[in-house]
Amino acid sequence: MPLAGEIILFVICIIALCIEEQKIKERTKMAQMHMKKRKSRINVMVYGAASVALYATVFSFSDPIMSFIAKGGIRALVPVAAVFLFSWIHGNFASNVWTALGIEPSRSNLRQQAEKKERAGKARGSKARLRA
Amino acid sequence: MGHEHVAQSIYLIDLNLVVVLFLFFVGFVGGLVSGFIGSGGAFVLTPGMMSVGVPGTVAVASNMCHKFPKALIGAIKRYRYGQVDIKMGLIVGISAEIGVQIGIHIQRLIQQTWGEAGSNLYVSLAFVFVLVTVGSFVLRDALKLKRSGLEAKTTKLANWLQSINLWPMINFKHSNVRISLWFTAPVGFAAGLLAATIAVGGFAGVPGMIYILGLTSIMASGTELVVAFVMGLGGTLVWAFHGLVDLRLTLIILAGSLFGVQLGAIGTTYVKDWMIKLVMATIMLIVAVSRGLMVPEYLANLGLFSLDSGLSSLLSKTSFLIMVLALLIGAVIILGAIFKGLSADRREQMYEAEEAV
Repeated sequence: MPLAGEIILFVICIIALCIEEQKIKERTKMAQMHMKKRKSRINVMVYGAASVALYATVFSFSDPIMSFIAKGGIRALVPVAAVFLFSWIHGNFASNVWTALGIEPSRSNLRQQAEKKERAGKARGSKARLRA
Repeated sequence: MGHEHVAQSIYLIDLNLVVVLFLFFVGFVGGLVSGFIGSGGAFVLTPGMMSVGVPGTVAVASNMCHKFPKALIGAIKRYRYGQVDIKMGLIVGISAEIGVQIGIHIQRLIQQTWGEAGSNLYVSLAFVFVLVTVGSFVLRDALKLKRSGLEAKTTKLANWLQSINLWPMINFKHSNVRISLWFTAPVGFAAGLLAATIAVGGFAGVPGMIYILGLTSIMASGTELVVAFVMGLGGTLVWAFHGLVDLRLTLIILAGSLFGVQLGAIGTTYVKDWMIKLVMATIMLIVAVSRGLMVPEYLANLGLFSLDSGLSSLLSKTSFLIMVLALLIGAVIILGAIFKGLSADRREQMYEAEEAV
């Protein structure tokens, strides 16, 4: 009988530990989410300031820039390079704005999509083997 | 048009607050639709810019210049979600470039033979024919999937084409497709031809990748962003070489569209395959109506019959408004789907948190 009591106690301890671990995991997840949001807020400010600076530069010197680009030829690379730079800075700013607002992709749906893709890949592999 | 003349016409554009906000908003909505269905957001921008006084060629060039960085950012975002096949995008994109060149040549030929009115009529008829045919097919498929609740299956045509071992066979690992180059190239070619004619190649590219090559809607719409990047970069270099890009206009549209394209990309993670088809088909069919309204005016310009000037102006205004409406309806459906998905996700998270406590 004492052995049975010890076994029951052991099982109860294991269950309690599992529940505690789950809680810790949840708390860690929440803390990670909080950290991510905080990081994105900092990024919003950094990339936002850089984006404003870039736009202010172009619009302050729009006349010389426009007359330079309008000459065409090899200067064609200037607008192309400019939009690459703007899309990197402003793109990061926009991305972090959505994250800071809590608008993020659905992790569960993405997981499902990835699983579906994996299943389809396996099915295709076995079909190819059968054909071979 | 000489470079100096173009530069002068660029300076004449008054960039007041209303114009800036209008371009930012149209850029945002266009980006949202592009991020979600892979293309289709840019077609309102050219007439939109022209309506605020931008010369036609500058509007096309500046629109093109904003299109490829927007597609790049959207493609990167969707690649992270596993929704892009870069190899497929590059192959289709390169064959689309060939289609664009031939499309431009056809346009020039028509313009030389029947003049500007003939060219406009050809563009409008191509718009109506392609969009009604493809749009109604996609809509039927989307509604069938919605009603049945089943997952979309690879079409019989795609399965048959994949079973033909015709050199060179290409393995597209990300989309789980192995198909001959001889079948991928025509899809790209058709997209390029359409892009040169109606400026929205994705209306052929995305359905082509779904129904002919066998990609899922989500994968096809993500991959289309790579195609748009390849085509947009090539086109921009040509326009910029002639000095026709107005960088100020491009940057204003880009400011809005980079917000939109990323939101649209996020939206694809909350919806089922049929939703992408539904949004695409809705926009295609409404745009077809819009272009259809312009056909009488172009027929009148060719001298086939006479049209009252008041009626002509009313038709062109209604056509533009319907085009804007197409984009807005698409945006509302996407935003609704994102809002619904986010709310469901949050409820699920709260439920999980409560369960854990």
